Amino acid sequence: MEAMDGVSAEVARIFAAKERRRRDLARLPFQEKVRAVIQLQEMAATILRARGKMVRPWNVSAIHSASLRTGSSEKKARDSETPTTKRPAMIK
Amino acid sequence: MKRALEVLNDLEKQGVFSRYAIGGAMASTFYTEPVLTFDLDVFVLLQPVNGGGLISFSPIYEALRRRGYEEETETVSIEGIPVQFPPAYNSLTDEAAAEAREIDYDGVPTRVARAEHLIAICLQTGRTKDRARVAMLREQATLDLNLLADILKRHQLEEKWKRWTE
Repeated sequence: MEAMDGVSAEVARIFAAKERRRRDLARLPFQEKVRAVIQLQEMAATILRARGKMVRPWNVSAIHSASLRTGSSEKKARDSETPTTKRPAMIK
Repeated sequence: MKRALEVLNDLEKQGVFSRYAIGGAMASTFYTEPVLTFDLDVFVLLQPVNGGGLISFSPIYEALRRRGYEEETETVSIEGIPVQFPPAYNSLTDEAAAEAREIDYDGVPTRVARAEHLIAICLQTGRTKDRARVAMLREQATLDLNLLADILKRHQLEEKWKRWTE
């Protein structure tokens, strides 16, 4: 960890704990990280929209309608990809 | 994201592009803590138009339109995910797509650009957020330093790497 001059021992411990947490997050399976990204999007969206930014969290539970298709490869409607129960928050 | 990857795999199988790989912030997230992003950047390897040097992304957008996925400003929403095909098309992004690592995402095969290529692309792009991404990859990703050195040398990025890491 990089040196932190002028930081109290308690703050240094907090920073070290945060760094450990970040490394733990880095070791999550990719699918878990994608879920975390979507959580971040949802958390950030309200704030960003209040600042006038047009953002949209990923809608990975979107059900694709076959009626939208015009080509030969028609897609049939599918069930939602993500579970309906809310996962515990992974981002502190 | 699984369905979006299935669509990309299908496009590759149909020959719309010869190969694709996840890049950008989501690729970086593969190696580091999750970071906020609203787009899925995808590098693609395309054939030049009519055998010449000109590369066109039009076939990708046409193929996606035929499948019912419409463009929205700079992205195409594929199964709820805004996908962007970065237009900065050069030998480095070609190489990143060509040498991307194969992974499995929830049973769907896909590819993600190597951390070393992501660092090089960040150096090349040079934004403040790219600098932050390089720092995060250095701290959290397991880097092949020999590969990184080779990439930086071949793409003339050694000096910039030194400036960013002093």
